[in-house]
Amino acid sequence: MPLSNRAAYPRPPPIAIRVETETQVNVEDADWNSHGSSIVSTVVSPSQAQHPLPSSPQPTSTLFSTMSLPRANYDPRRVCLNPFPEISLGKHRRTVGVYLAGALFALANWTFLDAAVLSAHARSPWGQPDTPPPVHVTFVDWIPGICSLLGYMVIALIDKDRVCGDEGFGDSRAVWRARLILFIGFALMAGGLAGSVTVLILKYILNGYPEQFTYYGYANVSQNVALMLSAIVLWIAQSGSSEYEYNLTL
Amino acid sequence: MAAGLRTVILLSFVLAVGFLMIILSCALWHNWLPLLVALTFIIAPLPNAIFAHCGSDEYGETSGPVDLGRFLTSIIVVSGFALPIILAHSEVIDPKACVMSIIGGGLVYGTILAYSAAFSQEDSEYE
Repeated sequence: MPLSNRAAYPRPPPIAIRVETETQVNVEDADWNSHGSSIVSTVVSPSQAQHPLPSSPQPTSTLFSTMSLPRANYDPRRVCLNPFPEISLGKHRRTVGVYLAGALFALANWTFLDAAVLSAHARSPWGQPDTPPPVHVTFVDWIPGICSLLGYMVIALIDKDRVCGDEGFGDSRAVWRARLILFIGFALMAGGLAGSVTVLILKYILNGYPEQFTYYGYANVSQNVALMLSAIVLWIAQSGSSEYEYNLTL
Repeated sequence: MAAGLRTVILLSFVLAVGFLMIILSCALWHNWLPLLVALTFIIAPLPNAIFAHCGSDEYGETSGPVDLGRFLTSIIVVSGFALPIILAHSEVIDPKACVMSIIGGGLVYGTILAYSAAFSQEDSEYE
């Protein structure tokens, strides 16, 4: 019944509708090259497709400038209002990275050597000139640093392309072996870091030495942290083959 | 050519002042350990000089030996600055001697850098 009812009403005759839109954009900033001052006027006639009337206006769509293009510095994936400054060292990225890694490496080892030299020239604790210093840097303190150095050597000697290389290239077992050796290197570095924290807690903090001697332990920890940072910086600097690849591929 | 001559004279004066600072820092306190700083900064440009011609292929990409040279250079330079600080920290040398030797070492190394920078450009110009 409703169907017949709906069919009973005659369809209204089609009306040609002419929609005219004129948009004028005035951009004050002359630096936006993609905008410019643009006038967009679009004429749409929806009835033209179904009822091609001879009197209906022809759709004229004049686009003087592409409105849909974003600004040159606009990225739709952007989260922050002000984008982060883009640090592009360009072709000097590798050079700077290698220099930075070397500086961190030297800084790490000199930090620990500072503690060792200080311990060798150690005086009695503050306030008690007669008592000898209660603790010295011994071989136990050197073990985490030696572990980290071994790990550093292993990581630095790995061929980066071999680890990141696809399986089809050359021997697939070589990739597997390279990753195993790389894992051993990182495990040695992490072991050195954990060992330095262990030495700091077990040898210095738990025994309650004054701050003058706890410094040995802190120097040990900072040595291993700086060695790990140096390895990471060196890896990032050397892994990017071209300047368009900024990703850290492990 | 006159500019090059003036550069040479100026750099030699700076180098002499740097060595003067280092030697004074040793002689004033009768402790000759800061002389190691001068030695360190003199050998600092050596790895770069040795490895620079080793391994740059035709694409201009730096390779392993060049990286090793830069790594060693950076290590030596940081050691040159760290050595007097550590010696002063454990009171082997006087803090004033530490400051003087660091300034002198910086002058010496800056002279070497400026010299290589100034005269490598002229080499490429004539080639």
